[in-house]
Amino acid sequence: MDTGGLHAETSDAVLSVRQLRTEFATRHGQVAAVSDVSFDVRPGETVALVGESGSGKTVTALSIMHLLESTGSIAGGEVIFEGRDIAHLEEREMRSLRGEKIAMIFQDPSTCLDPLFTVEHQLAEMLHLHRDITDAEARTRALELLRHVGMPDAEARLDTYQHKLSGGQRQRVMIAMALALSPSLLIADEPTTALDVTVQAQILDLLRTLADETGAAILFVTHDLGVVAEMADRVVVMYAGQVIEQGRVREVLKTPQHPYTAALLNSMPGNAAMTGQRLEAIDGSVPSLFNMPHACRFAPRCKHAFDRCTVEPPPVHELGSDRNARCWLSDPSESWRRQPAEVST
Amino acid sequence: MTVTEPSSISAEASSDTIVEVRNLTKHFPIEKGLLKRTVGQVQAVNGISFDVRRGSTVALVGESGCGKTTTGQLILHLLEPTSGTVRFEGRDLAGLQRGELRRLRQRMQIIFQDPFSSLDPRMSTLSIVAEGLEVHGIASGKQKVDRVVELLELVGLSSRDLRKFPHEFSGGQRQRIGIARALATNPEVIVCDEAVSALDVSIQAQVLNLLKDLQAELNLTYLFITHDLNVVRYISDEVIVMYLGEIVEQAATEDLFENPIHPYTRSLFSAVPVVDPDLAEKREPFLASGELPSPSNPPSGCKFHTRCPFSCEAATQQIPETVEFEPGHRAAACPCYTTDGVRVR
Repeated sequence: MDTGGLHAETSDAVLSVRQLRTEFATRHGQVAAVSDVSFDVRPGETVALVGESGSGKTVTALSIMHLLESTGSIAGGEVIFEGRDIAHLEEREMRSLRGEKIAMIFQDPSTCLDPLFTVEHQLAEMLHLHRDITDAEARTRALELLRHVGMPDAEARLDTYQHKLSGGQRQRVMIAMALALSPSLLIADEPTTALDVTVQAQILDLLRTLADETGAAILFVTHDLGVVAEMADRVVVMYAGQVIEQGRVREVLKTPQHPYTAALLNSMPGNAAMTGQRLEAIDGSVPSLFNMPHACRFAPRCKHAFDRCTVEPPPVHELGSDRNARCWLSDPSESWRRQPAEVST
Repeated sequence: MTVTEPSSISAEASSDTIVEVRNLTKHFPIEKGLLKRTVGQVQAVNGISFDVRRGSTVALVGESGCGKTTTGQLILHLLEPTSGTVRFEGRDLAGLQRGELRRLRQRMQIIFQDPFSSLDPRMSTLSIVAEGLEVHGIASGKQKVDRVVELLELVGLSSRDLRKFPHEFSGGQRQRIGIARALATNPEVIVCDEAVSALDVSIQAQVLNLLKDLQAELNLTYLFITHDLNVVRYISDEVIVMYLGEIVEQAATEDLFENPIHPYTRSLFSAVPVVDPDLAEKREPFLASGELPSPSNPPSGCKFHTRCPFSCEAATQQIPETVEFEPGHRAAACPCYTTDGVRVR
């Protein structure tokens, strides 16, 4: 049992998040949106951070980037990026890290692009900020980048404004900006959620190709287990501000160890449609941050909960390499309670 | 399903048809300048025909801009069609007097996507759900309150929720209120416009199960408008796939998923992320390229030809005919992928 989450194999990871706790100041006092979150992202690897609304997945990503709202702050734990704890780095140092070493793309690219400037201007501005190059070089590089992200008619797009671009094209511009300086880590927060499914497939394909080419690691924040299956090598499942299970994608999706992961898979309509079964909804809803169950946070909605779950917070149980679950059922002394075949897929 | 009646697009619909749509077209004018000169037309819906059987669920699927939402509004007569007819139990909605239309509206209701903006924040649950009862003079006073409580219980809420306001509920509970409101007038047909799209998957499962139970109990007919193919496969009996205002394919749900014919349908299916890693490997490679053309200036001939992997010379000029490939399974048969009605793989 190791409440810290993973074993201390941090040396080979690009990013190691350790016992991260992020709090927000509210009218009702300090409240922790994320607590005891630990995971690693290794070079060239894609790790999915998955969860429903309120799970803390986006807060975790924003904490790493130091992009929290002013009321939020990292209250504990470490964010080790390339061997250095950046959890409390000063804004000036953080600014040179962002873009250069860690880049981020968001669900809605139109909020990140400036409507008053052309695509070329925005790409060039970023290149000038971080590189000593001439305007002509910047234009050439910007065009190269747009071609690289598969922008149709790239040369003409250099001089357009964002409102003339479709959602998919805007996301391509964002990806071009994010990868312009060859960062070692790309954080993608629901980058395809607002897109139509055929365009989503194109963007996912692009991200996969670019990650392979550049060797960048990706932390992919999403609510969609289908996207997880398509994109990620490993998956970190969050619920109510905590990591409740993590492991290699195939293992977690095929043999989930935490009842929440299993329930989430069983509530997906695609699975039930093919087996003709009724959907297994998860009763109730995510607990409020102000009224968090003090033991297991999923216990009030869990079909397998027993007395211990409501009394004692479950520790993170290590289940072999790269695999753990925050559940009493994974404790050797309680494993007799586990029922076989918890997933219908 | 139309299996019992091989060609359901005949002049007369069968007796268990509750909604009959024929050559329905809606063009929105694009106006410019002070004099509002019409400079173009957005062809939102272009000559579509289909039947909805009483007690069945028909899904209208497509990406943004395909005309599915406009179709839903035309069916409820919230929009006046440019041409074509919608018949409810054989009666043309366009020819009805105002009073008649109002009486008919009791029997057709709608549930919206966004449970946050579709409920008035200043109204209590009681007044939201009771509004339809009052407008249509169905119940008042004590009787009205009793009916609202009955409706709330039907959707899994209780009399304790009567005096609460929308902000006191979670997204899933709000959608239940939206459903209770829709059920208040004892409707027969409910248009569900992306009714579960904004919900987390575990909550979405609760609402989908509720909709299925209500259908069985009250013999409801659903027109389910959605972009989510997993939801479609779970909830619907028949699927209509739309692209740029036209129906490209239409079949019983399992027929469509087992044997998609039109290249656009196949592109959609291949683009949906699959959770099961084994199934993902067996999938067709992704087909559609590029993005949706503008509905104000749609491509000539087959509207999908600009993105179609099988596109040929003929498709740029010839508008494909709709062919019934198997009983109840119709698709726009374009010359590029069909020769003598046989699919070219």
